[in-house]
Amino acid sequence: MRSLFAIARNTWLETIRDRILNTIVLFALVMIAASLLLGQLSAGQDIKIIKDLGLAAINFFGVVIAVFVGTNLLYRELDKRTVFVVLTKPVSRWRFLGGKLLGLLATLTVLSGAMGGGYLLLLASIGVKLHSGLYIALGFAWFELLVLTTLTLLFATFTTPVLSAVYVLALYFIGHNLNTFRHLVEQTIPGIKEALLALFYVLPNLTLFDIKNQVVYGFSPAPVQIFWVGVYAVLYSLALYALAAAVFARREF
Amino acid sequence: MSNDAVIECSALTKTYKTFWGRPSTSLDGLDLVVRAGETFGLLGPNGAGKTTSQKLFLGLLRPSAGSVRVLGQSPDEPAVRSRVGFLPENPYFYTYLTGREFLEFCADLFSMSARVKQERVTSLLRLVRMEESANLQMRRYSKGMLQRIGIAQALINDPELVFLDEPTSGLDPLGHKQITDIILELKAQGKTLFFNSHVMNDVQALCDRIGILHRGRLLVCGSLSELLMPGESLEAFFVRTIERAELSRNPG
Amino acid sequence: MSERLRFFLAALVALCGAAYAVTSIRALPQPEIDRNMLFVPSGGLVRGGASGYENLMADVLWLSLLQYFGERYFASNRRMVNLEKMFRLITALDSRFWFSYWLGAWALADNGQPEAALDLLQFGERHNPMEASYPYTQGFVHFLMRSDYESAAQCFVRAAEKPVLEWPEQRRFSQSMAARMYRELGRRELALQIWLNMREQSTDRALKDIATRNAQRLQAEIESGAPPSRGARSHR
Repeated sequence: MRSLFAIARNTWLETIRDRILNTIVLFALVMIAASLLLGQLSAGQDIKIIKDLGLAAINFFGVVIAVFVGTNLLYRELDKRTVFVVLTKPVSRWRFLGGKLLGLLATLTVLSGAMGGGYLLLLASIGVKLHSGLYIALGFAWFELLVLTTLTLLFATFTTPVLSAVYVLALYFIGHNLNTFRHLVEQTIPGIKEALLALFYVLPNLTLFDIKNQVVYGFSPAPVQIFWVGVYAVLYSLALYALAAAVFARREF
Repeated sequence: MSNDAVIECSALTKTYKTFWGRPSTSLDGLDLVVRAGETFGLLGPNGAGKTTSQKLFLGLLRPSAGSVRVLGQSPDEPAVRSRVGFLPENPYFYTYLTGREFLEFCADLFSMSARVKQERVTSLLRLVRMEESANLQMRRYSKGMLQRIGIAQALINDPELVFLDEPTSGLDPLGHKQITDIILELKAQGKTLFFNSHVMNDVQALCDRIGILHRGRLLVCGSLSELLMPGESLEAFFVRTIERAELSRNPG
Repeated sequence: MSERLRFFLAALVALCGAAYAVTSIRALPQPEIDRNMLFVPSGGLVRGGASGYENLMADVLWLSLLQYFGERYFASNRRMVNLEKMFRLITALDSRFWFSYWLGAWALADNGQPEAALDLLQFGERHNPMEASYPYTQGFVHFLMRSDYESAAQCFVRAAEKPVLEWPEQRRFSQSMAARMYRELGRRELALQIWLNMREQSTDRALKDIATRNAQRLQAEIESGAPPSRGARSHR
């Protein structure tokens, strides 16, 4: 296990020394600018927009970092042939992948933690009463990053960074409209319907994490919902990781 | 085969599919045995299949046909890899790490204890004369320094068998001297060394046995005293061998 | 069993677990109303943000609206919120999206908002002035939902004048609807005039027969001074 953590730590250092965490500053600037500019708006509306914008920005920055750093994570190792050094040591390939994944997740956790903390502070400072739904929405945003990072890793094991990014962003869009897909599936003919229904369960169901539009109106999901969403995020990510390991096990360098 | 064989491969073949689906053979039926304690040099023009062979020995590539065993096991086994070291060609490591951090990272991949790790890293930094630059980020290293830190990482686990891919090419005379000194020291320690090179002088000075690879085929293999005519340089022998092979490919 | 196969099996097992989690979440009780529908921004605002993807955005909204229909409406007879805003938004993003006007008008009319339905169709007619279907549908909303024969007749007359038809018989049908509306109103002379126009203009034999037959019946009614028959309402 020490090798796995060594790789995770190395990946974490890579992202830190690449100044990935500077996006926190960008996030802070966006939020401060928004709160200053929106102060001009009529009462009530500005607070609503700041709440919306903050959650959207946390999601957006997290997704962009997960996808663009994630797609380059393996590519850089291959391109600079550092993968030769690691894989010729007694490190199994699935551990190598696991280490890369953990390292990036550590960065993303710090990143979303800092953005989320700043967001809650900002809300508190403008007099918004913080309720559990907001915290849970931040947690769900992290679950979404977990799924997207693993998805990115899977594509990175067999295709180029640009194509990986295209695939992941396409699946991101599909994943967020999966309820619509499910509804359309209901109306197709039997036979095709079952096949599409299977596809519904295979595609990443990102709508499950999307409660940000509701929590700003005071909604908070029930514990049973939080539980199942967490189970989904973890199991789905494990499935993607196992798939990535299966692909990577046969890969040649 | 004898049981002191460290590398043994028979009919080892690697074929790639090109973009258009045509197969292209990079290594064609390699039969080779390297014994414990020997320094073996694999020579050949660029693209002859030298790096492909090393990657097959290290499990980075899988054979299309034939078999390969390293230290008596398949190179896919992580256990094998804990007993070998590898210096890739033109090493280009994690530029954001310092030399010391990089060696510590490599030590962690072997799950060494903290004490052993510190001992190994310090002694290796001394061996490759990198103590002064150990705390510099590797993006600031010269080619010779990268090559030396590369050798240090290949030796982190005190391996029985070390693969060196073009360890001396592209270095200035001083860097070149430092690397060959290190290799001689390893040889004196009784390690088995396998290196790829097209720098003939080094091979002649360092190797016990050589093989010449051309277009994926092993043309000759043997000790220098067996192969060279009296007074002949390795360079002259190499050119003669390749030219004869080319001639028999396209007679006239 | 190879390492690769083990990983594939692990992936399959984890995926089944994930699918089970999805079904469990879907089985949880849903909030009473879809909160996504509580806030619908104005068309102008969204147009600004759509940055060239207006039609795509309209399509996405359209799909989610259909889903809303599917889950909330057909399942129960609950009154829907913000339906008008939503159709307004879709048609503002894509003002030639006929089907969304059509479904929107009937959904609104059926939701007890016939005025909103007519507004939506008039908005469409302004943006698509050549097409018969906008006034044609307005005619039916006036007729079926408001029993306003006068307005219905005017709409059908307007529809009959439009050059672009949704289906070939639409002009004839518009004329005949207008005629029936006027007869309902008791303005039998006007209805008679429309039937006669139709007889003149039709090139089709069957159409000429229909127009002739209706014109003759109306003529007879006018001459006998009988009250207007209610037969035209039978399909209501």
